[in-house]
Amino acid sequence: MKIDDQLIKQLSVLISERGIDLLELTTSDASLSLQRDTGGCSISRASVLLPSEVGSRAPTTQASAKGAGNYKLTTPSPGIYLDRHPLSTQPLVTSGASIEAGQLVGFLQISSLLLPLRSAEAGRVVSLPQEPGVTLGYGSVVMCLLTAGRS
Amino acid sequence: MIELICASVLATVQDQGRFGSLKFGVGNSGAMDQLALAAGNLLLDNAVTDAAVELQVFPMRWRFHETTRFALTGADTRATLNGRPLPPWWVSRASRGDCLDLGRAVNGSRAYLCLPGGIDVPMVLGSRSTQLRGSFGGLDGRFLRQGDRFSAIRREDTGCVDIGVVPPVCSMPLGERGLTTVRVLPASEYACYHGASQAAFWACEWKITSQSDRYGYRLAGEPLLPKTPLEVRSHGIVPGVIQVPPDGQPIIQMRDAQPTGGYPKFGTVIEADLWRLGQAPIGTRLRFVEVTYDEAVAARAANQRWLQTVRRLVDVWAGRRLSA
Repeated sequence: MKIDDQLIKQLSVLISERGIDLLELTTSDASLSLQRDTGGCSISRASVLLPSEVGSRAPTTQASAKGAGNYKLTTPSPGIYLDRHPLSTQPLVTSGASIEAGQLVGFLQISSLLLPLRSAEAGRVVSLPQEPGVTLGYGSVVMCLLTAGRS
Repeated sequence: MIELICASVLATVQDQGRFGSLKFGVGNSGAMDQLALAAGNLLLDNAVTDAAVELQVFPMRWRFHETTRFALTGADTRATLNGRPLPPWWVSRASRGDCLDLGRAVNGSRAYLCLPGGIDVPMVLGSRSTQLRGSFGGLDGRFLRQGDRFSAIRREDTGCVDIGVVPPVCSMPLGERGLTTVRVLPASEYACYHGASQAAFWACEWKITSQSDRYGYRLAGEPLLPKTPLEVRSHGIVPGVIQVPPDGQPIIQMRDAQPTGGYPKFGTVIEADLWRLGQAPIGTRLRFVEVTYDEAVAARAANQRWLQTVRRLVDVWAGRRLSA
């Protein structure tokens, strides 16, 4: 599969129609990342990495999207968003809390499996836009953070 | 290798149990919460039968003498690794020198510390479980002490970390939240008891007294009275059997139960629910629900399906991570 303008247009239509927030595609030639804007009507970010850049990318379990002065934590997989462990009565973080890089801020439940939602950066939690218990697609934003260096 | 670096009591090495030796007078032993042990093993790509450390008195501290994965399941002990919180029912990686601290248990009473390939202690009569009565199995057939060290059987280990499973108490809830409920089959002497005692058994809550341990749980509640005094010859018993001594206060045989007993048998906690009993703290209350044999078999199948789902999901996620 070759990543070209036509494919990007096709995928842009597809993710808008299907309500997908973030699409990442890696082929032997390049890697494509498409992110839908918050209104869900157009592509806010499209980036293509060349083969040399693809090879240097470390595998990540959580896609992240940085904007000016903030960091957004996104889901690494479709699943049910949890703001606390199923045994706990308290949420892991609340809006306004200061968190450290690597801190656990939620879970993604896939059937009986729990995946961690960890912040890649330190900072102050600006918002937690998802309702606990909601089923999310890949790349959905679950936390917006004002990063420590910019607060 | 891990080392227990604090004074501790009642911690033992356990696997799923020692079967086939009742005829020699050797009880089953094995984990009080077999589902928690199995899930911990699955998180590490182990066989569900591999041995782990069963912990039941906290706080407790362990030190890792080499880098290894480990899984912690069962009761939520608010565990931390070098001060960093770990979720319950989770697989993690520790580096050499790291300290694992377990705090007061909530949502259960026993936790399981699992290592890749299981805990390396000798196999005795087909099991690594500690047989306390016979002083064999596990680590020298005894409770663990400060300074005890264990190695993982699988030293070359790769696999996923930082994932967990939804505890079965959440996936397969039974009865009122906060009140341990277990399903029971009426046993051979059930019909010998007054109807009022039979009704009270199902309707009342039963307190787990302080005279409860891995051998058995002594309960307190409405006395169960036979229609006429019962004389029963000693006969074979297994974990889950509910006996009634002359004072009418029932005893549930647990994993370290002796193979024979002579008290009348009122009922049997079904095999599928023994893990719920294993996590019921002393001082809390129990409730019994009557089921049929077919329902008991279906409950066991449900446990097996839960474990199969965990195994499949861990395999799928590990595969995804390896191909990333």
